[in-house]
Parts: sequence; structure tokens; C-alpha cells
Amino acid sequence: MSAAGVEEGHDPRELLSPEVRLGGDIARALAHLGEDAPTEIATHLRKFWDPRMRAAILERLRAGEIEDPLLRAGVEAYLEGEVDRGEVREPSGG
Amino acid sequence: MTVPPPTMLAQQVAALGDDAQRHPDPTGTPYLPEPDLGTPRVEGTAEVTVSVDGREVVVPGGTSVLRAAREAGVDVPSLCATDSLRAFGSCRLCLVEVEGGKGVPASCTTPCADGMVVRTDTEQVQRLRRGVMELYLTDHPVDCPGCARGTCEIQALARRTGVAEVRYGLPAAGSGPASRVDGGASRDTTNPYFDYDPQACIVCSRCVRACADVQGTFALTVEGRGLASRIAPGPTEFIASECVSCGACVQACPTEALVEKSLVQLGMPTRAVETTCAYCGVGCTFRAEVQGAAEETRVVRMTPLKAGGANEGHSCVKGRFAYGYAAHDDRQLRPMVRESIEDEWRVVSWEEAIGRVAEGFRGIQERHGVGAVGGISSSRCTNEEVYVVQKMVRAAFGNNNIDTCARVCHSPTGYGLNQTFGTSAGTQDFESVDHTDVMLLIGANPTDAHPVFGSRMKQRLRKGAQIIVADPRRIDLVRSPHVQAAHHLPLLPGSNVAFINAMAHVVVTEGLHDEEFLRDRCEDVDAYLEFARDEGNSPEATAEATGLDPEQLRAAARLYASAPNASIYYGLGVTEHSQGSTMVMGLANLAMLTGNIGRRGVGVNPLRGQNNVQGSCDMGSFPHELPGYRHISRPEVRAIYEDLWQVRLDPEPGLRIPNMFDAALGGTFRGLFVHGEDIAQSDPNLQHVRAALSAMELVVVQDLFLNETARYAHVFLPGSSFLEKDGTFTNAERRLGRVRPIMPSKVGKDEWQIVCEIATAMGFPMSYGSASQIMDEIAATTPTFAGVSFERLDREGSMQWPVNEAAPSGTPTMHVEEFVRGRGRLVPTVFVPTTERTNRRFPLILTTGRILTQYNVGAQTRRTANSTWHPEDVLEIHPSDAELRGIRSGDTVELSSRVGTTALTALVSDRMQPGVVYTTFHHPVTGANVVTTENSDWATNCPEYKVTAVQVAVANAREGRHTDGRAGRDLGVSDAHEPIDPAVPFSVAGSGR
Repeated sequence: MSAAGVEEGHDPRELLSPEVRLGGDIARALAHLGEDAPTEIATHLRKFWDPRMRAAILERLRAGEIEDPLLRAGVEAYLEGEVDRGEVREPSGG
Repeated sequence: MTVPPPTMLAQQVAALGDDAQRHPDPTGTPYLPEPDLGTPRVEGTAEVTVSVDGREVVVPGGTSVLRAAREAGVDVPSLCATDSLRAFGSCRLCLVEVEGGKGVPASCTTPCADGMVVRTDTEQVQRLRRGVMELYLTDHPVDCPGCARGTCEIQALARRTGVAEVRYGLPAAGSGPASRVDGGASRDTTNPYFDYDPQACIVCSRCVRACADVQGTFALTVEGRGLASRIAPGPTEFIASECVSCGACVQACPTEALVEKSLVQLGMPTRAVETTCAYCGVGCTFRAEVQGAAEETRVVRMTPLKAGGANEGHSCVKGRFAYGYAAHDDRQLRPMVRESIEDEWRVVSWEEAIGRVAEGFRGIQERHGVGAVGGISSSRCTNEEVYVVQKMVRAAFGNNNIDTCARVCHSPTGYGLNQTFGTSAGTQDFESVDHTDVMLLIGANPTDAHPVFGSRMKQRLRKGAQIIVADPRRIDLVRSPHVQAAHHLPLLPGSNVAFINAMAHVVVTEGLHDEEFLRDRCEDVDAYLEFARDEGNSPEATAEATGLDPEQLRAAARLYASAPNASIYYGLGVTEHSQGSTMVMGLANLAMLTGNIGRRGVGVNPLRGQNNVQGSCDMGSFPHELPGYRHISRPEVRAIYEDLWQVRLDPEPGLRIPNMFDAALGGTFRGLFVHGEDIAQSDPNLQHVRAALSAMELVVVQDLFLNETARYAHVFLPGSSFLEKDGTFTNAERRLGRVRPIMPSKVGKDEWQIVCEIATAMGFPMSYGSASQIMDEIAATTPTFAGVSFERLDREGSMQWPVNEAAPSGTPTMHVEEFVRGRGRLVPTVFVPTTERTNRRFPLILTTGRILTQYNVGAQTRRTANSTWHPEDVLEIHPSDAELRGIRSGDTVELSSRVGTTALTALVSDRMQPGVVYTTFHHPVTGANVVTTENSDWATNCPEYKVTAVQVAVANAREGRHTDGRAGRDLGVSDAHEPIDPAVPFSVAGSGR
């Protein structure tokens, strides 16, 4: 999503869908994990996101609306089922 | 004969008769003052045996003779001594004779020595006491109302000491020492909760010492000399003084010089019920001292229980005095419904209201799917109520769309401490702070938000511990009477993670880390050490982000790391950020790095905002977790509940609160049950929240009052106050405290019962005979609560979870031998700045917080006299920022962010740093959350309340003071009792009162 046309003082991320926006936050937070980051993003989505949110971000992926390459990789990792379900058994947090 | 030292509890029980148990009747016990052993308990010394009037008693060495005598059951009279304060030795009533000793020493200041033989009732002692009493009587009003009532000890002591006449004459009625000498100091009635009558004052200084030694405010002093001396709150009246109305002085007063207004008005209580405060996460234990029975019960006063594990006899202005909301006229006592939120409310029967809820939710599910409805549980409600709400959602609604208001405060604590330590809770009990050498306090303001613990921190600081305060504001613990922080690090809002990484960098690069602890107890150590060493995390490299002096940060890190016992205390200033979870992990890293985990005096301690934040999280209120923090995806955990409830549980996580709002606007979420939370005031970006609520087909609110959220509700279910509830709260130290009803529910049903009836009406039969049975189910299904029951809590007092086979009496300190997850996990915490940035249009950062006299959204405290001190929220702004904008204290200013605008009163204050403004969110008319944004913590969706880019400008008027950021629409407020906002948009047909 381009920031062009966004009123000064407004966050261009306001125009993103809630799932892409939150997904972007997760991707930024986990980016430091390098090659493990997509799997960690996918795991996070599976552990903490309601299925309809996961379905919504998959729709965004299919529609080509996810610009952040790391988030895209994470959602693709989730889509490809590369997540170890055993990971979900870790202490789950809030 | 050796008489074992009876506990205070045992004395109470003894007074009630041999057959009495601690709580033989949930309605309480006949009123008796708490026993007073005269001087504080001594700990950690070798026991000695002394003989008092022929009774042998074993006490710790150093215990006062007065206390030993009272423990032995020997009643030694005293006036200036009380067991919450160090001995003072001024009243000369507790004189005793000690065999082999000289004279007649005051027993309160005489320590016991092994073999000591004490006589308390010799002729000489009796004669001297009578003389002292006579002198007191010459200065005490003969018509003292307290003496008549029984709360003033003077005339009772005169009888006890055998004074038959006063040789020096008695004062005239209506006069006392002050009036005789200084011309008549008048009664001070300015405090809304208690009066001060100098005529009844005997200048024993108990109040002055309580204010100093217990509360730590030092607001009281002894003014004048000799007979003219009197207690004074400085050179002013109480209301204008520095007094924080904690009530410690009132409790300490042996006469009625300081007395609760309610006691004067209502007279003496007739029974007492031990219960737990419903305000902050300290979870103080109180005695509700009441009159009457059943529906006619009236609270005379709330007194903090000395045996209270969390508060040990202390209280704050909210817990002690601000309970009047429970009987406020605004309470709604009957269920109401309406077709649309534009309609008037219609009072209906419980049956109709519950039927409407059940049919409404089922109808939505039939039309839009099982996942189209959900619920929000409350951190203000009991564990048992929260448990049944999540059970209703999971079993009756058939989904996991259950979340709790902890979402918007401490959900990052849940995530961060789980990832690092293995469980979602603080590591210590409050008593631990008594053993700490250095405290790192970040993002918390305990003297306002957790006042009783704040006082305890100050007590420890006065004994020599040091404190590092990391906070954008100069809070009271930076500098206040007899407290001076070793370092105040005024970091910029949003830079917490950069700060904690810099602390870790100093520790690691200067070799201050605990290699043995890391090797033996932790994992992922090398990767973390490499991360911490990175020059990008140095204080110098992060200074631009944090705004901190690198040298001062280095000094603070050295102080923390080199302390024998260093502890971390934190609050919402840590969690309510877009990196809140990361920061919690950063704090855990620092504690592990320095070996400050697993013993007294150390640890990582979240200060929970509301009374049952910990409990509501424990009880399975998060959409991805069953009770005890077990992920919903785990089949073996689901099986426990599926077997018991005979229903299949959805293995997928449900929606969190912000997700519910998004889904409502997206059309997939249509019905919401809101239990005791005011999301239309407390949640961020209120325009978004209100739009979401407006989009729903059925919003059900259960609350004491028609709150902001009720504006968007179709069904209103009246709730019960904590004075009407039977259950438990779990405080910030994992302590389960009993909540006991002093009266039946004013609405005719317990809240858990109402939830059960909704579930049953939806086709999932749910019933319990009592709240106790709900706890039994929790204990049977949750390993950390396996040993908990009402019966045990009533018999043994509060307990800290885990309470199970491995820890039958509970767990004051966690992770002692190993972490809950085995090894502590060190997690690299890369600093990712928030996307909320200042710019030309919004050049200031707004951060939010709380104030002492108000609580959360103010629904309770605003309906009490606490609003005397804080009638409205104000905007604190630094003098340079104010001057630049032509703002003076008292001006009405407009506060704008990219999402909304509100108006409030300015307070120019150098507590702020330039570029940062601050306000509270206690008053709906202020609408602080009109301007906060939808930014949230990456891991948990906890809102970023603490960082909002804003502009401030002088405003002309407050009309239509809330508008959204784009269209400028007036958003309005509804709270009918708001003292400075008379708008009452609710029209209630057929009043429920």
C-alpha cells in the first residue's frame, strides 16, 4: 500500500486490512530470526490467530496484497503446512 | 508452664469460643476489634523463654516484654503502643517490674531476655499506672463520644487501671488540652472520610508514626510544645495537606481524635466479614465491619486485616474508604432489554432477559455461524465468575471467542513470561521486597496505582535499599520524603526495549553476568550473549532512541547487576507498547543474566492493574488457552474438559478483543457478552470500538452501572458488587484470597448463576450449588490449583499458586530449583521502534497512566467522594511545551491525534520531560482513548496506550469535546454521574431502582 495521498499525520498503515497490518507487526518483530523467521511467523499465526483471521490473510496473499516479503514468506509457510504442530504445545502465553 | 504464642487469629477464635472456626458462617463473626499485641513481631532471632506473672512464654529474642505478655494472655495496658508500629515508649502505662532490674521500665521498649521474670501487676506498678491515667484524664474530654461508643480507649483504661478519682480535676465538657492552651483548635472535618478532633487527642503520636513508618507519606506532625502540643497535617487542614487518606492514622488512633465519619454516623459495627479488596492487583485483605443482616446490611467501615498476606494491615484511600459505589443510586438492579440501541430500556424479568440473550445468540449463530458470537470476561470479577464465563463460551457458544480485559493491560506479561520462564505470573510474593537490595522499577507508579505495595517499597528504601526508576515522568518514587532514587532514567516513551538491551549490554560487556546461573539454569545462552554484546545495543548507540545519558544508564546497570539481591517491578508502561511482549522478555533476560531469579528479594514482578487480572488470565480467559495456560490445541487438555462437560471443544484459537471489533466491522462477528468491562471507555481508538459495537446485532452488558458500553447494548444484566459476592480473587503475587459476601446480591442472583442460566437456556446445562463447587471444578481440572478449595482458604488463609501435591501450602517464590519450563530461555530482543512517530502535525508524545484516588475507568471511584481530589483528568505538560503554545495551568486545551480530538484541562508540570504529555483515563468526559490509536503489541494485540503522537493547543470551549480524527464527528459521552458533565442520554423506562 502506497502512502501517496495519505493525509499528513495519518499512518498509511491505517489503510491496510487488520490482518495484514498485524501480520506486518509480527514480521517486523521476528525479522531478526533470519531464515527461521517465516516458520516462526507461521507458528505464531497458528498458535494465536482465529481461523478466520488466517483465512483472511491467505486471501490477501492470493490477491497479491501483501507487500512485505517476510510476511508473505511466513503466510506461505503457513499455507504450505510447514509448521510442526508439536510447537504449539509449548507454553502458550497471552 | 509454657504457653505457645497464640496467633492473632487464634485469639479471635478463642474469643468466639472453642467451637468457632475461622469462618463458621460466611456472613461473618460477631464484631470484635482485632487483637493488638503491642509491638511488631520479631523474626530471625533465637527463641528465649520469659516468665510473665508466672506464665512462661517462648518468643523470639528481642521481642518486647509487652508483646510477650500479651502473647501469654496477660493484659498489660498501653496507649502509645500498637503492633503495626515500632515501640515509642511515651505513654508510660505499660510499666512492669523485671526481677533483678532497676525501676519500672516500659514493657514496650524492654526486650525479652532468656530467663527474664516479669511482673505486670504489682502494687507499685498499679500505683504508677493510676497516676499516669489520672494525668491523661485531666486532658481528656469527660463527654468524649468515643469513650461512650467504646472506640476510645481512655475511660476503659481508666477503669482497667482502677482510677476512682482524678486528683487534679477534670476538664469541662467540650474542652480538651488544645482548647485550654491554645484557645480552642477546632474540629477538622475537611477530609470526606474522617474527622480530626484535637480535643480528643492525647498526642501519643501513633498517627504520626503510622503516616511515617507504615504509609511513608510524613504528612502528620506534632505541632506545639507541652500541653499545647497537638497533631497537625502540616500548617493546613487535612484536605489541603499531603495526606493521602490511606487511613493508617485513623486505624492507629487509640482515642477518637481521628475517626471515620461513617462510624460517627452509623455507630459501632456488630459483625465483621473478612474479604478481599476489589480495586488494584495488590489484593488487600479487609474486615468489612458492618451492621444489620441480609438486605439491611450496612458497611460501617473497612479495616485492613493485619493478617492479610498482601497488605499486612495497611490500606489505601480506595480500598478503605471508596466502597460507597456499591450502594450508589446509579446501581441498576433489574434486567433491561431494548430492540435497538436507539430505543428506551424496558425493565423485564430475569427469565425474559436470559431468554432474550440465549435466543439472540443462538439466532445469530444459526444465521452467521458458530463463531459469530463471543464473550469478554472481567478482571474485576471473581475467579469463579470468570471460569463460568469462559466455560459458557467454549461449551455453550461452541467456540473459543473468549477474551478478557487483561488483553489491554497484561497480555504481554502472559506471553513474555511464558516464553522465558514457562508460566504467566510474577515470580515473588510482596514480602520479597523486604529482602531486596536494588529495585528496578519501570513503567509503574506504585504510590498511585498500587499504593499499599508502594508504601512497602518505601519502607524498604528507608531501610537502605536503592531504587532505579525508569519512567518518562518524575514519579513520586524518584523523590519524596525520605526516598531518593539512585537513578531516574527518564526514557522516551516507546524506547523500553532499546533501554533494556542497553542494560544487558553493559552487564555482559563488563562481565557482570552470572555465568554459573546461566550455565546451570538457562538455555540459548551463547546466542543471547552475542546479541547483548552487539555494539548496536550499547547505551551510546541507543541514546538517541532512549533519550538517556549513557553514563547514567551504565551506572544503573552496574548497580542492578552488582546487588546481592536485585528485583524488577513493572507495570503497564512496559506492556502497553507495540513491543510490550518483547520488553517483558527483555526484563526476564536481565533477571536471568544476573542470576536474580529463584529466591527472596529478586525476581520479575508484574504489578497487575485490576484486582483479578492474574486470576482472569489463570482461569482460561484467553482465546487460545484453557485454564492454567494450556493451549487449546492440546488434545489431552481438551479431553479433561470434554469428558467433564460432555461437549466437543473447538481446537482452534478464537478471536481476541481487537479481533472481535475488526470481525464485527467485517460482518463475521455479530453478538458479544461483556462481563464487567467498559470497553467503550477503556479500549483504544474509541471511534473504532463504538463503530464495531454499533455493527453488532446483540450486545449484552453485565455490570453494576449503565456504563459507556451499555449505550451500545441490547440487553443489560445487573451485576453484584464485591460486597455481595462469594468467591476468590488472585492478586499480583498469585495469591488467592477469599471474597465473602456481607449481604445477598442486590439483584437477586449471583453473577455466576446468571451465566449458568444463559448457558442452560442455550442448550448446555450448567449449574452449581455454590461458588465453592466452581472452585472444586477448577481444582479438579487445573494442576496448579489442585490443592485449592474454599474450605482450605477459609481454614488456612490465602495461598499462592501453584497449590498442589508438590507445594501443598502454595508457592511464595517460583522457579527456585528450576524454571517451570525446565531451563529459562534467553530470547534476543531486537528493538523494533513503533510506527507511531511524531511529525510536524503531531509533535508531542502522549502517554497515559493512573492517579491515586481514581481507579481504571472510574465507574466505582467516581461514585464516591474520591472525586474530591480528582474531579477530572488533566493533561500534564512540560513548561517549555506549554510556553511555546501559550498554555497555562487551568487552561482548557485541545488534545489531538491522528484518530481523534478531545479537550481537557492543562497542568503545567516539570514532572514531565519536554516533548511528552501525560493524562489519565478515569473520566469518560475526558475521553483519553478517543485519541489513542489502534497500534498494538505484535504478539498479543495489547494496545499501545503509552505512545500516541499528539498536538496540544489552547481550546475555547468544551462543547462537543470528543471528535474523531477525520470527520470531526461528536462522539459524546453518557456516564450519568460524571460530576463535570451533566449529559444524561439514557432514558430508562420503568426504572430498575
